Amino acid sequence: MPIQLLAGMCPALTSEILMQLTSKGIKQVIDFVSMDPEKITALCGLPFKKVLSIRRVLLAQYSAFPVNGLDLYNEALSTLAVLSTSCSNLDEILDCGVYTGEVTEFVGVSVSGKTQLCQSLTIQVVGELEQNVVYIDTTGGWSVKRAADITRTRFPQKQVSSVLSRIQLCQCYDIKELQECLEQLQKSLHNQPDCFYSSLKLVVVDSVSAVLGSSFVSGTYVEGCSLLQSIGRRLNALAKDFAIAVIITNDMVSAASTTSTEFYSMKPALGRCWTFVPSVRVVLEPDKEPCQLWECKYADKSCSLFEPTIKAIVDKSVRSPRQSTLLKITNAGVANGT
Amino acid sequence: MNFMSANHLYGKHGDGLQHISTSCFAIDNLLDGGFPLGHVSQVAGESASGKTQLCFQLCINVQIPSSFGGMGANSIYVDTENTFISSRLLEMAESTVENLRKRATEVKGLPTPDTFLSTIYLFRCQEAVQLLSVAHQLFDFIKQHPTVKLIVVDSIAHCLRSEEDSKTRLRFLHNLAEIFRKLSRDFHLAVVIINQVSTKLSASFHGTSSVIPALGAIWSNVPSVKLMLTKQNGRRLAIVYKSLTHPRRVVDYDITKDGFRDAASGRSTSMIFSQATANDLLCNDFTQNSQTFKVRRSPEKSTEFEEKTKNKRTRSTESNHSDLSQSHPGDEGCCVEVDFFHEMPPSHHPESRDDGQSSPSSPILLSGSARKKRRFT
Repeated sequence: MPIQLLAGMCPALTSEILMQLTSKGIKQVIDFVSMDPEKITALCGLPFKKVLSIRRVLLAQYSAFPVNGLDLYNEALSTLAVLSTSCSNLDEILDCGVYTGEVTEFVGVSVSGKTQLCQSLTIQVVGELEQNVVYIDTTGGWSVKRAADITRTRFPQKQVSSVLSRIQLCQCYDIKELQECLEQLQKSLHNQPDCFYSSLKLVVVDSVSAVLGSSFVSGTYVEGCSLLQSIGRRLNALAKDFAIAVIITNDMVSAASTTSTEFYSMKPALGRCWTFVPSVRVVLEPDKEPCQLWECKYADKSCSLFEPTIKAIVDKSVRSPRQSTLLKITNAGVANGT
Repeated sequence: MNFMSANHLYGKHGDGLQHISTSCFAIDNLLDGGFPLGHVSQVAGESASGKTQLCFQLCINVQIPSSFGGMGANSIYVDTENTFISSRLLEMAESTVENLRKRATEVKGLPTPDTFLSTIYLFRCQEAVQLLSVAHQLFDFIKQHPTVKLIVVDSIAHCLRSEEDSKTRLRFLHNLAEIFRKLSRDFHLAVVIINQVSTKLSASFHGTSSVIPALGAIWSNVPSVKLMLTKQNGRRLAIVYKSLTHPRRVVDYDITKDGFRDAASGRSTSMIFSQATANDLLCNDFTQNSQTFKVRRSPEKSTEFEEKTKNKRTRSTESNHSDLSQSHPGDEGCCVEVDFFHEMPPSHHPESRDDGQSSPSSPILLSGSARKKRRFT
């Protein structure tokens, strides 16, 4: 978002000077900073000294501070939390679990277990770690009953309502609603209106492509890209600023195949510019077509009980190499597959 | 946007009917009692697999009055394939009324088949543009008719598949997805969308092919409940491969003169009631032997209820078994009553185009006029 020049931003920037600047088309901070000071002096007839002092203040105000690597590491140690997924296979490929301060993305076709994974992780965080979760549902896939079922199976000694009270749910079905929701969340985290936000450790957005996918087709391509980036930046800021783990899910779309053996291949939705948003990306692949009847060695009754095993592949991560593991969805959420 | 506590939702949705029964016990089981309110569901299947029949059944079941344990709500039917055959709907309504009469202790408040038909609002659309404009107008329409709890779209693929430009098609899909999601959330109603199927070829020409729902990967992520109706060796099978709470399962179903039902083995009791009264009814006659039925409305109730049904089941299977074999001698899981589809497939039915002249964007109220039409039996 462009930052406008305002009177009083720094002591030297009075309203008269501002008027002179805006009359010459210097309206934003970036206009001022990117222009040569001497040129501004010549253009607006301002004293060179004043221009320099404004420039110095603006640069100082909008620049980042250099941080010592060791300090950063110590700070990271004090704020970082690794949220275990309760599934040892998944923990292993994710290097112990989902990290706070990062955006972790799960990508997969429909019925690959993305929503189940999200709900399972949510219950793990609220039940086992007793931290709070904000769950942003954009597909209508969230089910309170499923969440309660997982809780009952996994934490039989705990009261379901007390576990579920740690989850705040928000259903956003278009981009505007999602933006509003994230804005509100950011505001609440800043102001801390109640104790819920002080122990908020996980924000889930299931799924980003359901609301963002339409941004490319409804407007121009550039508009779509900038919308995507603004949401992506907001998610990253949320993770970094408040030391929260952000989990997002993304769908697959078909793309022209690069190999000759297949007609087409699947790739994550939202295009190349979105691939830079998440720090960790895990691709989920079911081993069978779920809407099909499969051949199997057993008689018909038990055949119908089969479920696809899901292959989880770490596609992007700063910590672990590209590796894969097997998962399956059970009554108690996500578990190790065989 | 406001945040809600999941705990609050848990309490809120604990009471009141939250599902529309399909009349097929096995499928209801897997969906916790039927198609859920507040979610978008999809029924896909090949031609003549019973998708439309299932939706007719839903339209009728949603109307069962609350005094009979139903929802007592209305439905909207968006018909794009011209397969809405009111005479068939009337037939199903009549058998439902008959069923209700049998079970009712007093006949007071019993609905007539006409009342069932008169509260289905039918929209006919031929093109994608019409479908989209109808969808946009549904918000206002439902505000005026707040009793609507079910929207059926039969089918979404029909008019979108004829759209050639892929970008236009995508825009339609995204728009429709957003509208249906919002409708289901804002009015807390069930949206059931019928989809056609297409063939997916995997790996080169010598590879295998599989039947998947049409409209591609983007649409595939929209519904949160997905069913695939298919036929294998004369058996009708429903694959419930995506549901909110249950893992993937394959169950039998059947289509009879009365409507969408369980496969023959468990059919003698046609379950037309939704979950709440299914509970009571089960204890009276429950001959389902392949499925275990669990009511999970509240944790305390379920265990008690399971025990109850178990006892009842062992008793009732014996008594009903002779009855069953008498009425359906020697059937092997296939339909023994009138095979509706083989006599007259819905797509070739001449009456289906009768109402074509009426404007697609205004609902057609079905009432007595539908009755006058020739019925086929």
